[in-house]
Amino acid sequence: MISLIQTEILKFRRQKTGLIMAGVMLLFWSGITFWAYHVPQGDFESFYVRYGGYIAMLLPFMIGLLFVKIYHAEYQNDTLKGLLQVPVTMYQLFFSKIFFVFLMAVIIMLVNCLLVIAAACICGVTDMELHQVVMLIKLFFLAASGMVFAMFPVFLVTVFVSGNTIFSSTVCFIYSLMGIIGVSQFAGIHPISSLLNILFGGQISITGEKSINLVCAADIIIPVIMTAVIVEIFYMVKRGDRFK
Amino acid sequence: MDEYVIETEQLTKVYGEQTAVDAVSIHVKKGRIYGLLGRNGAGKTTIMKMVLGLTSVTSGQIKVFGKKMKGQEKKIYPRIGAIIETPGFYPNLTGTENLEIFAKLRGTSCPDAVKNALEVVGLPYRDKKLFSKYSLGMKQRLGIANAIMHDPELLILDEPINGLDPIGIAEIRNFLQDLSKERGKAILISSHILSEIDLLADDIGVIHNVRLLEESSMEGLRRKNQKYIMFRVSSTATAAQILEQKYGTVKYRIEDDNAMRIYDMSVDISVVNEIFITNGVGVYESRVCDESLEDYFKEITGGVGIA
Repeated sequence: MISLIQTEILKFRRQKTGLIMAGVMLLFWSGITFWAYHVPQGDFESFYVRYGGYIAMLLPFMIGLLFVKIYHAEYQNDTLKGLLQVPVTMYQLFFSKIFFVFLMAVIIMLVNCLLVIAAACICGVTDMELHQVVMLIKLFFLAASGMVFAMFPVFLVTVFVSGNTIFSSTVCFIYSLMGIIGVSQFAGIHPISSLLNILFGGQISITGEKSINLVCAADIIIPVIMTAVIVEIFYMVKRGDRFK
Repeated sequence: MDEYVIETEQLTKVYGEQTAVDAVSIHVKKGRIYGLLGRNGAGKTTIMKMVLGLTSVTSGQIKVFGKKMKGQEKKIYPRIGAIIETPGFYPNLTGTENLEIFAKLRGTSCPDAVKNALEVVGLPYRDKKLFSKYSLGMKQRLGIANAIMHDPELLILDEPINGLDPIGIAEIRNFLQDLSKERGKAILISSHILSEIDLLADDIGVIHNVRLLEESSMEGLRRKNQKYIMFRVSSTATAAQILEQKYGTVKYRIEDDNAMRIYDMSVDISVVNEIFITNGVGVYESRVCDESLEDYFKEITGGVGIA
């Protein structure tokens, strides 16, 4: 599995996707910073939690579309038949790509930590302390890892429609949008809404009770387990024509 | 039997209502090159895919190294190198980088495996050219390099010389013969280029209309193949009449208006030349020939050529 993940990183060489993601992130950050500059700010903690909430809304699109791209690439490049002869199972390939996406999400959010600190300086929020920076990193790390779990339904759809980039990208977009727009209404129903409520509850929604958080946590974990099981069954059934 | 590296028994593949492979039984021996001959769409690639487990089997059995593939993939696959159809690689990476990915996944222990494999197929090591810019021939060479990199015992090559120039074809041919004869590898190679199979294969299997028509060693085939006398004349119709008048029943075949073959080797060429000329039939060429693989293929497929 480690060599699979290492090769996923190697496969990402010279891809424009990384640049596009960086560009989108910077654009988003610029917009939020511009807006934040013109509104009165409180302390650093509330600043980064609010900031993190907005950045976390961009994350599902990035994670989902990245996974769709790297999964379908194996079909588009016709590399599956070579990989299956190594042998690498489809199940191993699936999880190696999820782990790669997880790494990318963590990198994105860690870079955003730096950008948030920069934004705080620009917006004149000066009461930054070390323990707050540590909390910031922790929050963003949780957002990155949690968002990957919340995107498992999109990963499942991607597997089902193997080779159809347009359909999976569309599903990813609609799924992410629904989770973000309905962050309050869909808490406990939609994994993205549930995650945003757990992490940024006080800032972006009306929820925050412990019982609701438990429901939200279950709403994230259950689809992950279901996806893992369904994908395994799917690959077993489709084993006959594995790279079709 | 242990002597067979690949053994299939009544192998069948059906897609919906269409049969892609029908009850094929092939036997590939260690240290020999097995040529799978057939036209496009005959079923060669499907057979190879089933042997590799890339496509499910509708019915029949496959044994590789004496074992069934199912459940033994981790033990068997590392002993096989294969190219199926056009080789697939990552377009944003160079040839070397692509091979390094597969070497890493296979856990190839030899540090120079990639370099050596590229050297064999004539591709540069650490070249900056991306795979997306490769010509068809270069892509094919890279596929071969990937197949041989981990020193497998069995090579399964689906039309490996596609896109190669004549020198490249000769180099690959020499390399495959060396692998087989000197290093005892088994090679299953498919092609519709008869001349190459003729030069390369030790055993052949002829696939036609999804069935295996015949399986034979090239040695046996060459012994069986008939000699004949080829005549190029001004009119084969007139020449045939003259032959029948002179010899009665003699086995011959008319190729076209000017070419005919006489299979009866007891006939004296000089006598036949004389009677043709005496009876007004111009003789442009006469010589003794051996039946080629193409002739054999045409004969067993009922006159259908491979092209």
